[in-house]
Amino acid sequence: MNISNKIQNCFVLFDGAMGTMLQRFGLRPGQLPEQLNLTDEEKIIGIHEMYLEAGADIISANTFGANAKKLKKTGLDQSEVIRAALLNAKKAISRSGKEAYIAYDAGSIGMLLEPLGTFTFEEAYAMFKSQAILAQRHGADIILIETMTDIAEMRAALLAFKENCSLPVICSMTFDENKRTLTGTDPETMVHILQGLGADAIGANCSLGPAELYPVIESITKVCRVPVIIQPNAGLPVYSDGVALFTCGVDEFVLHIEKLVDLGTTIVGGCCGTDPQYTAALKRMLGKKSYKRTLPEHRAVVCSPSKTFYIDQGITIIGERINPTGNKQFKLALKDGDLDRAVFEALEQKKHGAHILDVNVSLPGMDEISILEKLALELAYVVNLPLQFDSINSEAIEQALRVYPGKAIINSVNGKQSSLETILPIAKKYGALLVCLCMDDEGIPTKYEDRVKIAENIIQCASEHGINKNDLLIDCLVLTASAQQKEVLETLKAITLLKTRHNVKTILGVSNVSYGLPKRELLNSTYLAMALYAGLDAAIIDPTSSAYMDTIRAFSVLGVIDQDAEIFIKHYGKSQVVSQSIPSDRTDEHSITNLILDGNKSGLKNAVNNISSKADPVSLIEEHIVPSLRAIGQLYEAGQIFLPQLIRAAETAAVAFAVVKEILTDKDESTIQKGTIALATVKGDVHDIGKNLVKVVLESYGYNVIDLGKDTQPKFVSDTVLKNDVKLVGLSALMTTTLPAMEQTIKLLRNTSPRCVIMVGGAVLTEQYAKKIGADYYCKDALSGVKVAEAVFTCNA
Amino acid sequence: MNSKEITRNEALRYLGYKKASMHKVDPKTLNILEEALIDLESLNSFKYTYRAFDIGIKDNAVTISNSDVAFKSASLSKFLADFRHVVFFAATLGAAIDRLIASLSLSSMEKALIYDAYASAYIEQKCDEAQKLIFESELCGYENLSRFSPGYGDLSLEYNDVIIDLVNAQKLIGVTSTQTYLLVPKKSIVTIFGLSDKNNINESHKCEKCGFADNCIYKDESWVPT
Repeated sequence: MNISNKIQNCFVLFDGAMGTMLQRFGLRPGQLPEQLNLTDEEKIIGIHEMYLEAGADIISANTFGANAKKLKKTGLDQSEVIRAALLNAKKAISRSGKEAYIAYDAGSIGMLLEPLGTFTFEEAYAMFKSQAILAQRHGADIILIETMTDIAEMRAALLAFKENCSLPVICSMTFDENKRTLTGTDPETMVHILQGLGADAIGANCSLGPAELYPVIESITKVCRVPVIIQPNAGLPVYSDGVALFTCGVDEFVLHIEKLVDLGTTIVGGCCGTDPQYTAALKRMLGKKSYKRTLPEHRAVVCSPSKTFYIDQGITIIGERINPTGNKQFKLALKDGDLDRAVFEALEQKKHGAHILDVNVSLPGMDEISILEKLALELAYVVNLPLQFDSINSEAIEQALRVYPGKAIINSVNGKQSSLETILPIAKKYGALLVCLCMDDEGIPTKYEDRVKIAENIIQCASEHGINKNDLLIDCLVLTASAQQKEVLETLKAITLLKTRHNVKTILGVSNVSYGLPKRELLNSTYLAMALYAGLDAAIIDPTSSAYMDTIRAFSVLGVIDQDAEIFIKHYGKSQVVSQSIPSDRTDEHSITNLILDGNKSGLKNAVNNISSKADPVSLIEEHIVPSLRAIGQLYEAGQIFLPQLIRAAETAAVAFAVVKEILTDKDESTIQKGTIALATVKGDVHDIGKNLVKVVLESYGYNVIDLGKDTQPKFVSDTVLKNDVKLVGLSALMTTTLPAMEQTIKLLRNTSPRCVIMVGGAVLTEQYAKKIGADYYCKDALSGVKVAEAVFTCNA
Repeated sequence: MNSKEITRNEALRYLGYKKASMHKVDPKTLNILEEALIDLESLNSFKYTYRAFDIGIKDNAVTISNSDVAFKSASLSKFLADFRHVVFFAATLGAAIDRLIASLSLSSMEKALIYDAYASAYIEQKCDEAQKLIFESELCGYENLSRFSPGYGDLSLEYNDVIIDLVNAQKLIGVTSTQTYLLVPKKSIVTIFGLSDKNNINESHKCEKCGFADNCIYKDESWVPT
């Protein structure tokens, strides 16, 4: 029987620990176990033979750490190590005379992927790709990716092995007592993400014993549609001198594994602390069990890296605010390469109850592919909500799906042949859900029956690509009531027919219906209620608008979705406390300074509105806000107030700028422009809090700050400076190891923009060192950054 | 002072307060420090791991017995001069606190700043507690909670990687380092301390060990360089 059939249809027994055995045989501290493939091959072969003798169907080659990063320290050639490891396994099988298979065992590289760390998806992918090629070349039968702690790295590994060798791939991650991986993924989310990507078996290993892993396997088997693997440690370790001693004996181990088999696990083995005795006992236990595997239902599900959301439980709210269309500030920020605005919009929508976030960053002249990729990672890191990638650029969609450590939705495919041929394979490959628009080459049909026909064609084509209809969200499309009033109801009829005939999920962005009419929110929320009654599952709306959220909450009660009106009562039951701020008519500097210092944003807003009704808004800033900030800066320098208060003041003062900007935008006048400053934490450095503080303070003084983020490539800094004609750049680095990157960035800037002024800061920097690496200014704190900016822009003015 | 107060005062020191200005802390800052404590306690994400080895010291290098692992550093050699049995230790507050601070920095930089400082102080407190437990379980008479980390003195940051591998920190608690040897998650500690049954070992002051005192705004005001 070939290995793929075997793991799909039979119990399979893996071996036990390699590391534990090597330690018993005298592996020295600091020594990489993979070195022994070349230096002590008899030891390795001997261990494999013991496991084969004990009855293992699959032995894991001694390749756990055979990646470029770990091997670099030893100076050994990766190809040699992997070849030797697989050869040792082959020799063991041939000596034993048994029929068995060899798994190429891949462990973590040991670096966290962006944006948590600085390791890029492509770098991780490359390190697994070389292993994939060598594993197949040197005769592995199957791939085992195991002891993974980060879902982002697990995905990179799975894609690299799937794309670069033709062997089946088993994915196994490590969970702690809280049922989470070390970077926060729960078992259910892991399963949805990995089975979407085509893993051949999924499960858990290491860190816990078989008893502690019971709840983890319980969650996995409930949702996993591929075989489940379990390789626990021999119980929880007890440390003596920091050396782990495992406490779970053979009988107890097997007893607990049997319970995991009863849950539906079909591939078993051991991890740290287990030895051939455990394997032999597992073999005896499996011999008495009868094979059964249940197949859980295929549900419509999306995931962030640490959360699973089912679309079949009530009304799904998809936030639409991450979109430059009609959002001027968002557009400007995006043009500057500043993604914080988008992440802020994401957090706001989450706060208001969004379940999923639509992400659209299409702007003419922008590199949509790299922006969508970067934003996908940033949102995955900061905002724990699944994403819906919204673009007509299929390359941008695919790249975002490649790196996003979750399970996303593609927005969208339509009935055109070209669209189906491009998008369906991408959706299948990455396990993405799919928004399907009921339109084709002829446009949007006016009659509902014709829209349903297009939807049926898409359902059919998707099925031919192996995509389950539960992964489709049909969008019956809304036309405007002002222009095509009669067709407004056609959309709703199409929804109802599709729901009754095919029981597919439906999705709709309602706001188009009111285009060109007054009272848009009223029309939209009324139409939303009608669509929900027609059977709509997911609404693409602005969740910060209470009209829509009110409608959804009310409909959930009347439509018997919100049982006993529990959520409704929770939300509206208690009287809303409206915070009362006393409007201030006093506009003297003393009161403005106090408002800023106290962090009284609403008070400041009132005060600024008062002044601006009488005075020119731009001079308002220079005459009232900046002097107050200077006074506060002096208090800080005198040790009267401290950093948290300085930052609070800066953030509060930002309210004044927002008011003034709004007035100017309304008057269509150019905005306040004191000068543009680019800030970056240099390549290799992840510590950005200092840079963020400088940003807030500079913005409070009215400077336009382009925030290039952390771990910033020198070229990205120099390109941005050139593109935006930036006069002042601020660079930060925390540690001695990242100072060379700072120097490199300065050198590049000197070449590309010789007139640009450079200021630097960071814990290990000194005035002297700043001069040495060619910076113009050393800033010991955020306020000194303001002084540099004032000097630079006063001279330039 | 109880440990909670010590941690709070350490956080305030990171925020720029000196001993003399501790009484000037404003109520909002104190409130946010309280919130930070509650959030960190509810995250409950502190994890640590360690291994103890016998060491030898020769020619300004600390070597682990029966291995090829060597730490070339005069300052570490000095720090461990009186010890033969040494703990290599790694700890972290995990990725969740990094995420929390990143999201706070978009809604309130003031809060992000205070949480960041508090988390730094909090992990030190947790490491102190872990170190005490290790002293107890190793029946160690020595009780000084001082530690030595890569980056101090002339001990290069590259040794972060060596210690992470020695104690299997990536696999067990999720501590990793970047190509530039910075620890990720950010609120992580990788360090070394000695075990001894004696309790009369002289130690240099922490500011002395660190080597950045000339340029440090956080240094202990009471410290007199030797």
